[in-house]
Amino acid sequence: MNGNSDIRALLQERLRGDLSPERQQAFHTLLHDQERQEELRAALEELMSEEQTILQAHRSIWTQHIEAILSLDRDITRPLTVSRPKVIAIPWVRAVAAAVLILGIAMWWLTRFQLRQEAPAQQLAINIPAPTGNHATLTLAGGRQLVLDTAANGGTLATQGSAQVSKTADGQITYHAPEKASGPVVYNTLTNPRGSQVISITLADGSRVWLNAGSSLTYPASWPDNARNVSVNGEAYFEVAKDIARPFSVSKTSGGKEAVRINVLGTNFNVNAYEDETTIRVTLLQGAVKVSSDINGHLLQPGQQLRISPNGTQQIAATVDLDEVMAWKNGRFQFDGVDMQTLMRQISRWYDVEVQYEGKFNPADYAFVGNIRRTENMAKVLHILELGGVHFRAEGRKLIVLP
Amino acid sequence: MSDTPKHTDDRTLFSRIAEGEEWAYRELYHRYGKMLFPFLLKLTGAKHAADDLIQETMLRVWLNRDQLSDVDHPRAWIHRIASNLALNWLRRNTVHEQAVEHTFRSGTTAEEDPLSNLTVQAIRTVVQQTLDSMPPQRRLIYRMHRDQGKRTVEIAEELGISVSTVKNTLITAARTIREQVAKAGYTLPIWLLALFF
Repeated sequence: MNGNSDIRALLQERLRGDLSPERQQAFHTLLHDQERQEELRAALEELMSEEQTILQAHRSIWTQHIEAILSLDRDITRPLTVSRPKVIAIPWVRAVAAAVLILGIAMWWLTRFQLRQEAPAQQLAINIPAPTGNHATLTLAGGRQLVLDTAANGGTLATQGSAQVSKTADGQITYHAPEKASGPVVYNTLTNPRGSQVISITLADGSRVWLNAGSSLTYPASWPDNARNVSVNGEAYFEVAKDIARPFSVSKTSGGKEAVRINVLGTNFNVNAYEDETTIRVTLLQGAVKVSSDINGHLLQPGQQLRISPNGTQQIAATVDLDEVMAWKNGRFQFDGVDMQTLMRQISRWYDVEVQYEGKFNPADYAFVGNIRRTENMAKVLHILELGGVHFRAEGRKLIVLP
Repeated sequence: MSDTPKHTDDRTLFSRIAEGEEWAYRELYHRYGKMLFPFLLKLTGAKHAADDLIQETMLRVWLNRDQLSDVDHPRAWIHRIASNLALNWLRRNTVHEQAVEHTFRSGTTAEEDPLSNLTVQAIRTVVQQTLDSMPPQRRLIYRMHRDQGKRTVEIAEELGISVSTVKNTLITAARTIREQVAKAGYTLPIWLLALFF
């Protein structure tokens, strides 16, 4: 082995943590060998630039280090205060130093194990690309179904009474209707299937709703006089136009019964209410909402999330990571200690795969941290879980999870 | 302030950091912190060591910011610094009999312990003296930008000068501070200068 590749080999052994005593000695000798410092540095730099793993952690872990540096050359005749970061300071962000410490060590520990090599054939099977377009359908009140991706952008899709629904230049749905409905209220349903990109719809009052994959929204084609009621299934983000005369409400039914009703006054909030999620989550970003379910009601403050369990009991989480809640709308997967099953359900909706668990393990034992674009191939997302010690096998559109 | 564009490239960040823009520095710190941490953690075997090395590296980026516009390859530049610091660390902390344990040499130099209280105090003193002896306009612009958090356009308007004058002044101020800090012995190693090609 020539000198240079041995330098590289020693460094790699050091990185893996499996230097034998003799190799440790060779490493030590190398470190203090004047002649080889330049080669050593070059090899280290090379390995550094080849490193693929990225720390997944909240930005706040660096805050103290950064502020310490920035405060060094401020003018101290002015009292030293930590300057506000120039991005909008979000009050609910908390330093998570302790959690990241554990994660940091866990990651190191995990990378020490040889990851099981997937056979090339398996890799191909897991290569499922992210949805390339939106495949939503609009079911009009009479039952007629419009498949939206075949309709031209910028054209009218349908006319219902005095309301007109059309597709904008960038593929989103919008309504043009007179302010008040004339005639009976008719309901349409916008369905965004699994394996489909996020779609948004602008309603007759200017309210806008974004739908995640595997979700649907039922709404009136134009608003009646006194109220604006819609119902939702799956995950949706609402920006509701203010109209004091006509309160806006969002409901979700489950098993024929209303599981939750959200009463809104001009505001922005996210609803996560998939049938296959046990807990319904309503997160308020701006404004005010009152959330009622069977047993009780709660008034939410911005930044709060309400969790409703199947029996209707409600629980408020005072601080949630809004980035995590809204990640889907911003084209990302973001998870911060999410359990494996919840994560796998998100993956199954976006990539439209069926998830099955095989072998003996308790999925609840695993928790994952990650932030990755939703445009990535599924294999890349799964790689994050593989780092956490989970394995996968794909059979067509079935994804098998193994310990 | 302008929102940080999510994917500003490194060279643009370097140019903004040279002008003393803190948001750009924070963005760079996050970006490289995330990339360097796993590698440094594996190399050193200790989280605090990885954190320290990142901070030492990024400290040099900030204190050397007046030169950043001339750097053609930010990533390589940062990696060069980090590698050198990491090697220094390894030399100090690797004992040949022990594969994993690390012993720390007693006594610290400014280089080893990037921001011990003594070092912070000392650097701040030098900075303060430097600022005190700066021409008044330069000091004023610097304070408006760093302490009052005013944007360069605001400063330019308030003082009736051009934005480029403000930016150049900030770069000059940073350079003066760096030179004085180096002169006082809190030096960035000479090898750093050889990087500018």
